[in-house]
Amino acid sequence: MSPADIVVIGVGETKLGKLPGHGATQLQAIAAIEALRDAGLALEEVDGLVNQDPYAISESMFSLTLSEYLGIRPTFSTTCDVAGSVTPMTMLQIAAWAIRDDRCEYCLVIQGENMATSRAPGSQGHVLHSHQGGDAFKEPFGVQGAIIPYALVAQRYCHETGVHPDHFGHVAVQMRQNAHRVANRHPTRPLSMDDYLASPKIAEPLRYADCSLVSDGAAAFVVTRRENARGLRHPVVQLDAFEMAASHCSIAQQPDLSQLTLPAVTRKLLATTERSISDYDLYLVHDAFSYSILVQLEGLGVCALGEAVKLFAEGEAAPEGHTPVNPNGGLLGQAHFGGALHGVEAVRQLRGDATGRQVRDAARALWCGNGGIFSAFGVMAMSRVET
Amino acid sequence: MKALLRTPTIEAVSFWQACREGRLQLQACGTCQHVFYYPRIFCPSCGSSELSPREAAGRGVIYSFTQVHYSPFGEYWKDEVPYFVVQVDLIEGVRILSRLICPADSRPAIGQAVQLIFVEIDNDMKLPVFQLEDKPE
Repeated sequence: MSPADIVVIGVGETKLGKLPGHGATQLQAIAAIEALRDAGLALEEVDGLVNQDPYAISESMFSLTLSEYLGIRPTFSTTCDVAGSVTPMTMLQIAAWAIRDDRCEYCLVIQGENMATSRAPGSQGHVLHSHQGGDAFKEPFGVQGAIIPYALVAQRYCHETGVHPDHFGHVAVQMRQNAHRVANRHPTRPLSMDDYLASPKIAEPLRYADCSLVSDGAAAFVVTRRENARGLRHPVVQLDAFEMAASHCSIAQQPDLSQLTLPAVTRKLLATTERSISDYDLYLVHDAFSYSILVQLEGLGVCALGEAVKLFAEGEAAPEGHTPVNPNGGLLGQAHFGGALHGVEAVRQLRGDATGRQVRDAARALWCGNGGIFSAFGVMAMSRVET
Repeated sequence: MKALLRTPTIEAVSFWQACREGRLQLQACGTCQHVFYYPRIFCPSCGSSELSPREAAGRGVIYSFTQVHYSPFGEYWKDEVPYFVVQVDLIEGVRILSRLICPADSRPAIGQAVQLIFVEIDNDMKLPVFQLEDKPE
């Protein structure tokens, strides 16, 4: 299903890091107001809202909670959760469907929560206060959250590709460097390869430095029909196509690496858009863990199996390289409260607004997300259009 | 050894009862012959509810493993660290997530043969875990 003719006219985000005193409602509201300001749209013009149910402290009737807090009376409203970056992509697709079906004209799409400050002191990774499928066959064996499952897949990835886990450091270092070119980011120190190799193992082969920055924050998009975008002061970004597929949810049901859905999802998207994978000027890739980027660049077909790490070792994944990946530093460098910031970065890059890290002549972006334990993959193609 | 167990839902009751008796119970579909884990009410291959228990022989090879150096369950779990988590491909064609019981300085390898054992946990329950198979002389 192609959402072409539907555009993003505004993006916004909160500050990132630890934001005590803010719940998901406050963070999503701040991001929404920022996105409306960016779009030059008044609050009362918003008639659609799609948001994500927070993971750390789950809410009920959350789209109405947020609408009430913002003071809007939407004619289309829903809350969505798939997993990881597949959620914001799916929310954008839902907004596109609702607009095309005349349920609303201007739809807010919002993801974010207080993922960092809601954790218990000393805990690691995402803490999910709600149950997930398969938990009853993970917890008895000492498995919880994302780090241990992703460590198991990382070990297998290294076994199948011959990539040495120390080389994951090239990804972590590049993402941190990129993030330090962005004003709004989770506060961090610079990371060198020596720093990376000194980072302790948390679940082998993964080190702390392989893990993304669990953060408080939210990001929002304003979505509408292309014809509503006339007269805006900046270019707009079209949602060209979106595809997703899921294979499982929990590590207790992990299929072989060769059975993950990304290659099939990519083939479908490229067929819809009549493009090849190298037609894109930059790639936004969900990076909950450093090596996740390698798995996905290889699943997309940007690189052959075991080859993606070279892009990082040789600097070609930098904003100035021939295959720019996550110029904002991604979840590893900027912040992780979901994956919506990848979409925000795609929009900024395509508008030419990515000050300090702008990819030259960026006209087409490919956003690749996964969620769960590589359980679902989504790919969204976006492009700059003149209004 | 510690293990966090939830109150089992309806399809898992006989699985945990079998564990208590020292048996690892998979399920086999009477319609499509698919053998699977974890327990379900319906076959995840064909949707049939004609399921019967199938006891695993307890042999398999390591699909992947990790040595964990932090506690995912806070203070409660701290004295279990470090520990090994393993994915085992059983000879029945089923992949199972479990623990690998071996000394902290062990060097397990993907593809290595493992053997099922049961260890006592709380409430008179036994947990199905694995150990590295003795190498033949």
